[in-house]
Amino acid sequence: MVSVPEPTLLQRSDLVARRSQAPSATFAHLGLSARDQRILALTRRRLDGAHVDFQEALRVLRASVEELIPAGRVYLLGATANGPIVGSLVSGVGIVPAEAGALVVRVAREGRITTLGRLSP
Amino acid sequence: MKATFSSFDPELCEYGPATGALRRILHEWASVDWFEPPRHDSDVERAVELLREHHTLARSYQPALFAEHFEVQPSIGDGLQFSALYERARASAETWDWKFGMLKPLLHRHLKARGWDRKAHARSSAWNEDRRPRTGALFVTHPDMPSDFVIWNVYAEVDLRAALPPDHVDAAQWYFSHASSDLIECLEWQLAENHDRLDTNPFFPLLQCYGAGVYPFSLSPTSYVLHAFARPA
Repeated sequence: MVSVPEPTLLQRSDLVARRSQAPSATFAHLGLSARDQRILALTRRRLDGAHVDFQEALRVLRASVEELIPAGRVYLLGATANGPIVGSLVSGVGIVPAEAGALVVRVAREGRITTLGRLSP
Repeated sequence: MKATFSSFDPELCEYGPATGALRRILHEWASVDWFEPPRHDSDVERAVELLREHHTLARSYQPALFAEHFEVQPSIGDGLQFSALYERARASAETWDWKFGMLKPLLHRHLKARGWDRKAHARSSAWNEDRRPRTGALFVTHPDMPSDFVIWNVYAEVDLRAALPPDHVDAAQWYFSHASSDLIECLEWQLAENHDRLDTNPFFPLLQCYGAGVYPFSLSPTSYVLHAFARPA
């Protein structure tokens, strides 16, 4: 079970948590683009199951993005009470710190956040 | 429907010799009335010329990436036609992806040639739990991130769900997100150029298409379709 504290997203967003998401989910069934799936898969391979702090998770995510996308970069998409959401400008998929480790979320343009699962299974 | 920036103020943006051009880019972006018909009859024709200018300029930097001969076809229609173009572009993305397969490599090579690195321009961002102040910083660092982690602070927001019929939101969201990426590419190109002229920036005519109320799709290496929403009868 993924536990997500109630966030404040720059006073605009509500959180739609998918708390039943299995920790080992591959995200393939969540409607992510093939590009996002590749980036997350590479990030997971590099993490190799290790539970790292959010700063290390960010470094690994950034390295994956820069390897797979020319001029690839990550963006500040918003924030929860636990910290910043960093991810893709195009898809709104990013990671955010949480007590159980970094979570993968999707941020819609109007600010709504959907939690997709854990970054590291 | 206009896009806004919650934590960025273009009027406060100061980046040396490129400042005037950066503000012009941001002004062009702010002027876009998203997913509305063009304001003038001549705007579609103008957008065709702008798209040609974009492609020709891009090809002047990377002739191997961009086709010598290409066609630009305007298409005036409704949200259904826009959604159909979105579906076609999305379905072909694994084999032909204009933005990720062409424009990002174009920018990447330009930044490398210019030796430009956004890390050199980062400014720290004040932060509290509820909100960040609006600043003119294009890139920020954050106390919860690694010290060498520099990210863009320009995140355009628009409430598409409130403004559009539900059937059109996915297509509009997809398009707007990719167009937002064009804005970032345009700004990075100009920062790497570090001057006040926009006539060498291939991304600016693309942004001007949006400003004209026209939405380009590229469905193959040699063809563009420029969608414009029809005015209500």
